Order: sequence, then C-alpha cells, then structure tokens
Amino acid sequence: MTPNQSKEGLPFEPSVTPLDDDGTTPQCQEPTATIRLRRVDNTGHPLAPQDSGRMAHRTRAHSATPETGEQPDVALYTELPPGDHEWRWRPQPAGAHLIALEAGPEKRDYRPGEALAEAPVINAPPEGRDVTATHLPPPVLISLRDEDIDSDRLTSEQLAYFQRNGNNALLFIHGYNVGHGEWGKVLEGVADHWNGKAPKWTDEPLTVYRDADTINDEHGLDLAETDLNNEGAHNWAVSMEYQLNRAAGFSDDDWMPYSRIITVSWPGDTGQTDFMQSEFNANAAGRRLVRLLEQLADAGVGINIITHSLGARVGLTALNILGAIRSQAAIDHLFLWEPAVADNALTNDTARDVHPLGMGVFVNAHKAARRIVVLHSRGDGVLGPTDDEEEQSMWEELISVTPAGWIADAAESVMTGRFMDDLLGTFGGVYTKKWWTFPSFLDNGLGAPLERLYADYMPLQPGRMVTRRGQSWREGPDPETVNANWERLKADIIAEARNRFDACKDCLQNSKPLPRYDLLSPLNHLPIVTKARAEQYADDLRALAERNWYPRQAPRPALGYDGVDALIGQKAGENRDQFLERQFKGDYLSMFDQSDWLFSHSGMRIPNSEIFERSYRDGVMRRIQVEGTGFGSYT
Amino acid sequence: MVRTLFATLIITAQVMAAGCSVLPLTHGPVMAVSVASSGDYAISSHRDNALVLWDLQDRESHVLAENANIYSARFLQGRSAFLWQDLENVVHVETVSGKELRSFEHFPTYGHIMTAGLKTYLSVDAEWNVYSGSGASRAPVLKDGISPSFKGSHKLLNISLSEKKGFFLTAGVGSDVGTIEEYPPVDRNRRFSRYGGVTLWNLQTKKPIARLKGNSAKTHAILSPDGRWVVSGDESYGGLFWNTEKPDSRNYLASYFSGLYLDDDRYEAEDPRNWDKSQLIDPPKGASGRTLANAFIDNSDYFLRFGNQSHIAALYKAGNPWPQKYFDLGTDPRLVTYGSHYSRNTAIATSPEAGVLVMGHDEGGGISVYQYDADQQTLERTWVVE
Repeated sequence: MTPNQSKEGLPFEPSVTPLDDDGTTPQCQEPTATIRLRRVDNTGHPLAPQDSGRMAHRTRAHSATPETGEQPDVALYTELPPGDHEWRWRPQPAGAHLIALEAGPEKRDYRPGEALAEAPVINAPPEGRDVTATHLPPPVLISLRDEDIDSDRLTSEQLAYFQRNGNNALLFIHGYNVGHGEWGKVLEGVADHWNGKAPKWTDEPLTVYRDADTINDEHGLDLAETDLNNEGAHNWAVSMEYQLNRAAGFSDDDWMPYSRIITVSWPGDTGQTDFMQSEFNANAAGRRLVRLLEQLADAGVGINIITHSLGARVGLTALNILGAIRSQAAIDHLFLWEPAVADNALTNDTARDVHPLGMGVFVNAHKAARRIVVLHSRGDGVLGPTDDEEEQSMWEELISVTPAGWIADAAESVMTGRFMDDLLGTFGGVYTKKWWTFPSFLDNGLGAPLERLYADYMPLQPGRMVTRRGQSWREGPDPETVNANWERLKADIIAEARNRFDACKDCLQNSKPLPRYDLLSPLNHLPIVTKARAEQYADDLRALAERNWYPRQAPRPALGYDGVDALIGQKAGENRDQFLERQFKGDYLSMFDQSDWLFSHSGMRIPNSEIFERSYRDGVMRRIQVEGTGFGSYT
Repeated sequence: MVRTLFATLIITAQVMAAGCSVLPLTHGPVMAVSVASSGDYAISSHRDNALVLWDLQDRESHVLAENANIYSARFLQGRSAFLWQDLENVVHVETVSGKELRSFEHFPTYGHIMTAGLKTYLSVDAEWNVYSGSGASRAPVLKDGISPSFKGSHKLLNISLSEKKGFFLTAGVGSDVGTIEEYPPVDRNRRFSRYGGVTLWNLQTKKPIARLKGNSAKTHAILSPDGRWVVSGDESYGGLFWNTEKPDSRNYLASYFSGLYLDDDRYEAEDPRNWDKSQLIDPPKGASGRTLANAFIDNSDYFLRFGNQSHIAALYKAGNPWPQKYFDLGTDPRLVTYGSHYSRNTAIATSPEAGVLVMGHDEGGGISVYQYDADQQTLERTWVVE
C-alpha cells in the first residue's frame, strides 16, 4: 500500500501514474489493474463477495463494484486504473467489522470501527493485487421482548459460526431493569465546536466495547462510557463479551481470536420498583429461551450460560423445562452471577418453596446443567443488607423529612442510572423487601402486578366494613361480587391449564415454541401446568388476596447474597437441605464467594482489576476453559 | 547476612499462671507460622511485615525483622533453622540463634520450602508457578499459566514435603482435568493451569507423579512426615486421603454429620444408603467440615482437620476415614479459623514430632499454642499471646 498523504503528513501526493505517461497516452492504451479481494471472518469462513463494497480511485473519478469470477468466494475489481484505491466497504451484514487487511506483502490490523472512520487504501499495481480482508462477525443478540418467536433461534449462519468457533456458545442473560438499548456509533473523529472539541459520529454501529478513558485521552474528549457503548442490553452485551474475551486471553492489539457471545435481551425493565412484574416476565422469557438452548444442544454445540441478577430466573426457568424433558444435561456450566432468586432456588423439593405463588424453586434445573456455579457477595446491597451505617442514616433522614411525592420523583431520576445499586442497597437490599411495601416509593410488592394481571376479574377483595354513629356499612365491593369474580377466575385458570396441556405436550415432544401461560404466568417456569396444579394455584391466589396480598412466609434470602450457606451443614437447622448439600459436596453446585472484592450488584459490567482477575478469570473463564467446553477457539 | 538476633529482642509476654501474656503485641495478624520439629520454637510472619520468633519453652517472643514478606516464615524440617524473605526479596536461611546459613536474591514468594540439607529450595510465585533453586540455577517446575493464582483464588498454593519418601505436594483449588501426559507442567503457551488441584511430585526429579483428584473449591492438602499419606480437605466440605504408594486409589474421610460416602455405585446418587454412619461419633456444637487446613499432630499417625468458622478440630488416624475425637480449641481469642481466612491457612502449623500446634488469631498478632498428648489423646492450650 502506498503512503497515505493526509495521514502521514507528506508534502506531496505520491504519483501512481506510469512514468512514461505524459498525459497524451490514449485511454485505450492505459494499463489497467485487478484487485482480487477475498473476505473471511475470523474463523476463516469465506464471506459473500457481492457484499464487498466499492473501490474508488483516490485521485480519479473512478469507482468499481465487485464481480465474481472463477473463484466463488473472491470479489474481482477489474479494469481499475492502477494506483491507490479507497476500499469503501460498509458492514454487510450490519455490525461486522474489519480487523485485518493483507494486501500483497503488507498486512495491517484494524481496531473494530477504525476502517469505517477512514477507508482503507489498497494499491493496485498493473499486475494486480490479491487482498484478504478478515472481519469480526456481527454480534449475536437474541431478543425475547417482542412477539416474533422466529427470532428466538439463531440463524443458520450464526449457528454455523459457533460450530466453527470451537463448537461452543456462551450466553449472557442480563438482569432486572435493563432496557433493550442499541449499539453505540463509530466515532469518526473530532470536530471543532464553539466551546471546544465535539465528537463526530458515523451512522454505523460499533458492536464492540470501547474504553472511555482511552478514547478521551486519544481525542481530547470528555465522553461518558454510555456515550460510546450506549445503554441497556446492548451495553451489557459489548461489556460482557469484551471482558470474557479478555479473561480468555484476548488483548486489544489482536482481534483475531475475539469471539462473539450470545446476549439474551428480555423485558425486565418494568420500572424501578416493579420487581414482581419483572419476575413474571423473566419466567415467560425463560420459557421462550428453551428453543434456543435446544437448537444449540441438538447441533452438538457446548453451551455455557452466565446470568446476572434476575437473569438467573430467565436461565433457571429454561433449565427447569429442559431438565424435565431431556435425559442428558444440555448445559455445561451455568454461572449465576449475583442471582436475584431465593437461596433454595436450586433445591429438588417443591415443598421447600416459600413463594406464595409457587415460583421460588426450580426443581429440575440441576438436571439440565453439568455444573452450576453461584457467584455471590455479601457486599451486594441490592440483594442484602449493607454495613454502611452512614448511608443508611442519610436515607432514613431523607425519607423522614421529605414529602413522599418528592421522594418518588427523586428516586425515579436517581435510580435510572448507576446510582440505583447504592440507593437500593441502603434499604437493606431491595430483593429481601420484594414482597412487601418498604419504603413507600417501592410500594408495589405483590398487589400491583397481580391486580394488573387479573384486571379483568377485579374486584377480588371485598370492601371493608365501616361503623359510624352506630351504623355499619361496607365501603367498596360487596362479597357476592368478589366471590363471583373468584369463581370466574378459577374456572378460567383451570381452563387455561386444560387448553394448553396438549399443546405444551406436543411442543415439548417436537421442539416447537412452548405456548405461554397468561393467567398462569407465575407458573411459566413449569413445562406443563396440570389441572390439579392450576386448582392449587387458584386457591393459593385467593388465600393471598384474603391477606391483602401479603404472603404468609417471608422470602428466603437471595442466592446472590450469601450463596447456600444458610441451607448447608448442621447450623442450617430445619432449613438444612440434604439435596443441595450433596450437590455442593459433589461439586455439581459450587459457591464462589466474592464478598472481599465485589461491593455492588452490577460491579462486573465494568470491572476493576480485582473483579476481573478473581471473578472473570478465575471464577468463570478458568472453569469454562479447563473444566468445561471452552470459549471460542481460545486454548 | 549475620544479624545479632538478641539485639532486637523484645520480650512481650509475661507469662501468667494460666498461660496468658499480659502485654499486647502490636503486630498485624499472623499470615504464616511454622513450628520447629523440636517443638521449641515457632516463627511467624505477619501482615505488617513483622517476623517474630516465638520461644515456646521460655514463652518469649522476639521481633527479628519488620520487613518480612508476610508469607515467608517457614522452618526447615528437622532443624532449628528457618526461611524468611525480606522486602528486598532476599531469602534468608538462619538458625534460631541468629546465625545466617545462607541468603540469596529471589522473586517475591507466595510460599516456599527448603530441605534440611539446604539442597533443594522450592518456591511459588503469585501466579502459582513453582520453581526449584535460586539464582542462575532456578528452573521452573510448574509454569503453565496465570490462573488459578494467588490473587484469583486468594489463597496460597500450599506446599509441603516429605524428604523421607522424596515427595512434595502442591494444593490450590479443586481438581484438575486430564492427565499429566496430556498436560506437561511447563508450557508457556497455556493460560489456565492444569495443576491448580492437588498434585504429588517427585522431590528429586521435580516431575509430577500423580494428580490427586476429587476436591473442589479452595483446597488444603498435606503430606505426612513419612510421606506415606496425603490428606486433603476443601471449602466444599470434602475430605480425602491417599496412600502415596497407591495414588490412584482415592479414599473419603467421613463427614462429621453424614458419615462415610460409599463410592461404589451400588445405589442411586440420592439414596441415603450411600452413606455409612456406623462408626460416627457425635460432633460437638460448632464443628464444621468446611475445611480450612489439615496438620499432622502425632508423627505420621494422627492429623487434625480444622473447619472454617469453627473452633473445633477433628482428630483422624492416618489411613482411617473416621473422626476419632474432637477438640475444642477455644473461642477467646477468636482463632484464625474464623473469618474464612483461606489466604491465612498457613497461620496454622504443627510439629508432628513434638505434638505442638500453633495457631494465629482472627485479629491481632498473637498466637495460641497447644500441646498434644499422644497417650491420652488430649490437646491442651498451653500459651495464649493476644
């Protein structure tokens, strides 16, 4: 490739015109050149030549589109004027990135996005040029948010990529209150602005993580991490993928081994305080996830799953169904990172479930994974109490002196960002308060989502009797109406179970999308709801309503806070769970205590060096690489 | 370097009739302690870099240095000489009377050990690589990756040896997959080590003999002084032992509460008949099978198993899976067994020959000293320095 004048500061434009060409050479006698461009992904798989983009001569008004010749995977650019050509390729498919370009004897590595900010220059000598371009494949994000169930599975190209790339796939499932988001954009450069430098963005998405400090130092900008990597599930996708690759041995100067993960986006963003609705959504998403896991397992791809927070419920729901229908463990490792599920969620005994609607335990999940690793921390203020008395008193003071409406507004604004972890932690962990009202602006508990779910059957609670001046009367619905509503609801619940029964059975046997339960949505983690189970559910629901939606039993501590410590050994007393104990001793279930270094619920999204080395590298990746199916093609 | 040992002598312990010192020590907590085979001395390195020599007979302590690598205190088996390393990374071998036998520059060690004749020196770095020798003769014994590591696992790769049989043993976390033939211990291209679990090595050739599999999570394992036994325990309540002549034959230690797991596939995994409780004795309140460390206490015949968050130690007879007895180690001051101090499981040490046990405390720089009576099978706390 010839030197790039603007980039390298040359005082002249290098001439590519033949020396004997004084401008009088007839057009028909001018020599022409051919560029033979072969594009591959970083597994070596050839990419479609027709999507190879244009070659534009740097100084002449000449542009060429690709043709195909005898070699089907080579794009030919013929009849080119010799000299430097800008390769104006736009990502096709979207989200792919050029990471290496080999033209004749020269090879250049690119950071993803770099070639979109400034087109690569390829020199075409009269004798022609063989060029190989290597691309990072587009990211893989499965959305379980919309109704398009066809997108629940990988495309054949995506599946083939994971098969080629070590025949393994690593899934990440984000947690509670994460929006879908979108990819960040490629930073083209810096524009002078009236008040300083401003970033110039291209329209192309950048589908890998960028470190804000590095970019800011490089360009003299002051961008936030979310300016670069955007937000929501897309932000988690690029962050987790990048850190997992680093843990496996990747470094920024060589993108060739970089491996894509599968990010699962699900509708857990139900508002900062509606945890219960988010749990219902998690169950429904987990039910849909079964198809993807079956697709991978049936293709013989080794599967590892990492879940964060309430993403554990999505993963465990899928495994609970898989464990019931497959005789072999389909998943190699399941990593539950700060799981927002009960500490006894992995028991095999439904009688241990303290959840008032029976959605607390996943009794078949252990059968679907060869090993389950729980990464927990007592420093996680969202899942349990914190020790910071100073913060606690500050918030207690805030609540005591501030009007409730103001708190709600303030909380909504504060809790939309990274402050959420700290804020919720000061209330003794939002998880442990999830079933009752504390404090006032977290006032949803069980009532609101259930009343929303059964809105067509309201009222489900009779009005209260009021006595004044010797007279008594009822304020609100009369018991007869309420009773009729319950009878109608119970009949419909049972009918739903009966109607779905055969369909679910057929789907499980034939790998079709499982029908979702609606009235029975809290039980979407069960493969099939029998009539008897539906009756039981309806009765439990009514009993709960009669207690004004307050459960009889307190929730179990979160698994992500102290692992299964309270259930194992003699000290556990009546809570001792012999099954979990055996799983634990047999190393089918492992606890990884991060209390000494992980002090926030989402601290792994952008880890410090300690979280990276201890949790990512030793806690997760070492197990996948040494004891499991491996990650990508890393050795 | 020859130092005048007693020039820096500080007597800190005024022994009371009950065996407690009255003057507080100002050191940081003990990170590593080691007992001389004679049982007369212990050497400890502390979190604040103090190196303290404990005269267990006269009940005195002497601060020998204030610039010690916190994991470096270790006696040589059968000698009244110990190893330590200063913060300039110089390793010293010196006697309890202050005579320096040898010193050499080295990397910052995370555990090391030396044979009595000073011939073999084995040391571990922060990435759990093991080296033999020092200076120009230093050679990697195990170097196959950067994980698991001290920082990642927050514990040392525990190392012990038996000169009698010519073995040494390493123990880090869990089990290793694959065979020694598949994964040679020195491989510079490997990122994740295949030797993080329990491995038995030949002391002379420095080659691995066997991977002793079956533990999970943070694992502690030791060799008996005669080299006949390997005993392991882990964070996941597992306890195993092997006869080194049959390293392929793994034996379970009985769980304190569930009994002995019969690993014979006779029953389904869930079947309670897989557990033999026939020879269980009742464990006292507070016993925990989540093992922090093991230590031989009566030559190679008996060893102690220390549980995490527990002040109870179980006595086992080597080669016998059943706990023989339980000892209450005392709750005041809290011992190093409280607080999940896996990074400080080296703060528990014995002289199996003299039946002496020394333990660091959860907080503070003191120690508790115990004497084992082999005839009576009793363990008495004889000296406490807070």
